[in-house]
Amino acid sequence: MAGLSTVFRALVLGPARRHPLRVVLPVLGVAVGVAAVAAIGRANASVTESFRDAAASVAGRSDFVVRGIAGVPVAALERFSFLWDVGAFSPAVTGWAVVGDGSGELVEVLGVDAGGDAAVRDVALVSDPRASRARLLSGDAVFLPEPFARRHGLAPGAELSLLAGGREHRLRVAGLLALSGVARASGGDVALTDLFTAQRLFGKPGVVDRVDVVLATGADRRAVRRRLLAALPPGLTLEPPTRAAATADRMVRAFRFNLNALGSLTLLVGMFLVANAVSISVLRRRPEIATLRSIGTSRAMLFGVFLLEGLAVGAAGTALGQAGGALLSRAALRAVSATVTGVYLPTAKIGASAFAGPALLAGAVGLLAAVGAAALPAAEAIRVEPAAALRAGSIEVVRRRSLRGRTIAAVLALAAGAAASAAPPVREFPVFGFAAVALVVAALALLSPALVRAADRAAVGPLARLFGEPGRLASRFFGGSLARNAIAVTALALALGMTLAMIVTVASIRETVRVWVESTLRSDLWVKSPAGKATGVIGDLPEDVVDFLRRQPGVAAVDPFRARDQVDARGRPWTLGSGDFRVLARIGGLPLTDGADPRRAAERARSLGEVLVSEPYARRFGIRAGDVLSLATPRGTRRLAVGGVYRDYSNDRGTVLLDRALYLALFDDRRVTSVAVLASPGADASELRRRILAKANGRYALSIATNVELRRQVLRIFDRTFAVTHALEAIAVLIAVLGIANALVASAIERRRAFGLLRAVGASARQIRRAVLLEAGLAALTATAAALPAAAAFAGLLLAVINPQSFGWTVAPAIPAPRLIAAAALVFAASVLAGLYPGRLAAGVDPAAALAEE
Amino acid sequence: MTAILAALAALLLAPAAPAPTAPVPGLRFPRDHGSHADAAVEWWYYTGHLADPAGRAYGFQLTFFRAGTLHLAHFAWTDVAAKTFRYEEKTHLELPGIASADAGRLRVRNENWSAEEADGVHRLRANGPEGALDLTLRAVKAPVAHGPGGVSKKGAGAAEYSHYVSITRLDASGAIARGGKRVSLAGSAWFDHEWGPGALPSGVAGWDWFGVQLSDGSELMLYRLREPDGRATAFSSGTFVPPSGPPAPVAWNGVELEETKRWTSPRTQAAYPAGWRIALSPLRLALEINPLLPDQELVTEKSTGVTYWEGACRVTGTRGGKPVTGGAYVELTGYAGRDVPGFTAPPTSSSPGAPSSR
Repeated sequence: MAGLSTVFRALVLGPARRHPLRVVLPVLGVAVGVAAVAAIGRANASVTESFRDAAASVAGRSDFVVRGIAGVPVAALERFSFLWDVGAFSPAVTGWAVVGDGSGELVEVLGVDAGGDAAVRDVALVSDPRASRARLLSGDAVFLPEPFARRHGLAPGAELSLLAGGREHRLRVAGLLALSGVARASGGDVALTDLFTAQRLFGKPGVVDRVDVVLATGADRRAVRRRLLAALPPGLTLEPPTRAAATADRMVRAFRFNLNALGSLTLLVGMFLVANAVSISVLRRRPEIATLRSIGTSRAMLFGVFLLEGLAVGAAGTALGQAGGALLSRAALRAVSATVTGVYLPTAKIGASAFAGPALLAGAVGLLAAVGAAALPAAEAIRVEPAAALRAGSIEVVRRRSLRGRTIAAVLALAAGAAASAAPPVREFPVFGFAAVALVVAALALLSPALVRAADRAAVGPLARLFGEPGRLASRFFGGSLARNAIAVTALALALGMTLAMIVTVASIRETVRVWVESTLRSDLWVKSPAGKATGVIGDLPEDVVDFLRRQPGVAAVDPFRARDQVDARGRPWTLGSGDFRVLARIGGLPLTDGADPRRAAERARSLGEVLVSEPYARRFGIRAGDVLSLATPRGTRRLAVGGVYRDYSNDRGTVLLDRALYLALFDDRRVTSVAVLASPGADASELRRRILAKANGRYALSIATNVELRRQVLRIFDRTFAVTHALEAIAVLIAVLGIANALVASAIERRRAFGLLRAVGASARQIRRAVLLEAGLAALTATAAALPAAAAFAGLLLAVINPQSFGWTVAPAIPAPRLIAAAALVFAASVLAGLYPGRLAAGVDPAAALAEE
Repeated sequence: MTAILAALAALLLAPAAPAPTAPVPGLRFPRDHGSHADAAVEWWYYTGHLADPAGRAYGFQLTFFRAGTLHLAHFAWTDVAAKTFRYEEKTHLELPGIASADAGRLRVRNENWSAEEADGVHRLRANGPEGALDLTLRAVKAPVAHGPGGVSKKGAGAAEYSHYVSITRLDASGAIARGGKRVSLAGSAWFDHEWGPGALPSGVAGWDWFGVQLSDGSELMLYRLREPDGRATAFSSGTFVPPSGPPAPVAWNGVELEETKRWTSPRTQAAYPAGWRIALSPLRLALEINPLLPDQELVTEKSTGVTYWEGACRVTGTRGGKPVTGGAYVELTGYAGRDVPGFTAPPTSSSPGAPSSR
């Protein structure tokens, strides 16, 4: 009896050595999948790790952090004085500024009570501490991490210009910090100042952003926490120091989740390729399997041999994929951090995390996927009966019988998918939505042999009529290799289906956003604090900017907007916003989900003291128009009626919008985030901006965008967000096309004898090449036919289930026909091109040699 | 029974409570014990000699500084028998619940250290490595304002002055507690409060300050502002407070000050005087002052950045020919080389520079 290694050598290694291409393609398939998963894994891990690092460097040794819905009023600190007997506390002002040296870089400003802050945060001075001490007391002192200072050419004593809170501030570099402790926050882009200096910078006297509490060793943590909670005035909350990281993570998790799903798609397509390869192996070795079985080789050993083949392909692919992933991960990280900063957190600094973890994980997933993919054909191999297998065509008989069972299973999978699509999200994750996608994939895989056969039957007549003998041959080849073609077709149908579905989804969202932007962005200019290189809003503006703008000639109306990021008691982020509802009542611009008149809704909300909530907020928090919201304010909890739900695609956290008058009355926060300016009729927006900027010079530092610029920017950010998506789709399609090539190469090798015979009886090399190309075309056509309903199902699930559950947005479907046709045509062309090499292989068969092989 | 008798005797023998309003021109108490926002620099300084019921002697210093909106505090504890000197320091911005000094009354806090005054009774709280100190101080004498018109000139410049008020004798009682162990304490304390623009004349290398309480009920405050060569500047001065009656200014030309010993710090290598002979012939006062412990040096890296010596001393001598004994606190600055205290590098903005210790 032969041992495992002997059998493996006979069934797997031997053929692989003779026809390396047959091994190379599935290895490449796994490699690309593993590379994509590893790269995305690293990008995602980098995001999470960066958030954690950022939060940890600012939180230091903090045990609790006190925050406030409108900051923490300094007066409230009096209530914490009991803490000195059990530990320490330290208030801090945090915010972002743009470095005013033309670099456009952002810097996190941290204003602390330097003498007391050592209890919470570590700072290591690298410059002369004595000189630093004297400068520290001067009130405009700033300490900078050494690398940051070096990059900006700043030495102790130099002047640092910061644009913050709508103004330019000049600070004096008092000392340099080692890149440790709090200086590591934001990747070392930190400016450490006196607390009062930071308050002045951000225009919020009497308010701090956080108070860190550190307990002495031996202090009763729970007792202190209880006492702290009892001491907190309304509007203040106590949170763990990791909350900031968790919140940031939560903001981007829908995005990351979807990215992971797409990454898995590439691996899934890779799996089909492995299954395909092993399946070809099984079919090709049928006589050898039968012989081995008849001389007593056990089923377990045969199963093991083919699993081992999958493992070998998986291992080679994984190794290659990990290497490729290391390269790919840079691009992935760049793309992901562009989205995170462009869409979610403009101030986030994403540094690359270690690659080893994600690479190992992707490798393990790749190996498992390869072995799992090999299991099905391996199971088929051990069903080979020694006697029957020696007769040709018997396996196809087995396959035909199982078609009915497969069809029934596919129908069941589709029914289950339909049921799953109706299920609600699990902890804000569209788990069932993705399950439905997986079920559609399964149904597709189950149905594909039937599809291939049906396609073959339908095509035989037209092919023969159109292409003559090569057409007839192609059809016979295609239908004759049911198993491997079915798998290859499934892989391509899956990749193409997903691609088409994503094209529909992205186009739908884009169109929805475009329409929304047109209907909401009605003002002529948007004024905000300079954001440097960042997209989005950095910091805020003093209230007097509003009056300044209102007084400018050519300005018809101004609408001050305020937005503050909040976190609810369960750690869910949301946004508290306010605008002038009088302006809203005049110009509309807040389309309501129920189609009601936004002007009237704004007027009503203003007069009745109601709030408006954004659609993502309504969905996420289960709020409907007419409900009553409980809002924690510095004046205690207020119950406010929801006057309406408006569409908002700018923020998937969800926004509660108040009229500015009500906001001011409740939150004592007079600063504004941005100001929308309506120009007088006939005034030119660009000209108005020029005049405003000239007038503001020396007084305010402002950044002003025109309506056109803002719209363009929204769509630019949108497109950048989906760049990763498109890249992943392209990868999946590439793998699938490799699959087609692989199946055809296998056919060419397997049918050497048939080709030899055909050539012997007079078929030309050209005819055979054409036959193989036609087979490729037929496979691609079949896949496209299967992909269309699959794409419809995927798109439906993405638009109606996954997207609303992840982001809370309602999206109107749009079908970009030209782009869909182009994508399908491209895939078709690529598949036919994939038939070129196997065609050449088949046509190059030497008739005499092929026949002599027997 | 004995305790009650002792307490009664103490009540009967105690001098009448000081008048709430002191005869100081322009100053009113308790208002002027409080913080003066218009003064760039201000400090409240408590020192004292204490003993536990077994007679074991201790010295303490508790100081609250304010420099603009920056609040600093030092707490030092001398255990004479154990020959230990320990101190703790704090620095904070002026923030509620963290560090503050009220206007209009004496209420200064830095974390959970505090000094408060009501009706001539001061309450001090502080803690350090030796434990948590809780003292009640009863003023035995009325506040004294040093210098003509309550202005203590430090130099010729317009901003080279301070308002300087002392309560030269307070009865102290209280306890220090550490890890569940509580030691009762009683003794005598001294309170200084000084505020002003904070400018120290250039060319002053440091100073030697003496606060002496004598057994006959009199006190002497004396300071020498030193030039770099060690000579006293023309603005060195003092005040003598007799057992009863009005305090008298001390003119420096009647003072003979002689250093009898030196002590070199093993930490900073600074060589401090460690014994003095002082003669004030107009007052017929001759004193010998010696530290209870040589090492009472503070290196305050975490707060003022100033290295100075401030310690409990014993006093012997004669006044008017009669022998007297007593206790003193002595402060020595400017001996640790580069650590010249004061405002030698005045910053450019409105906030004041590093505060001095005195």
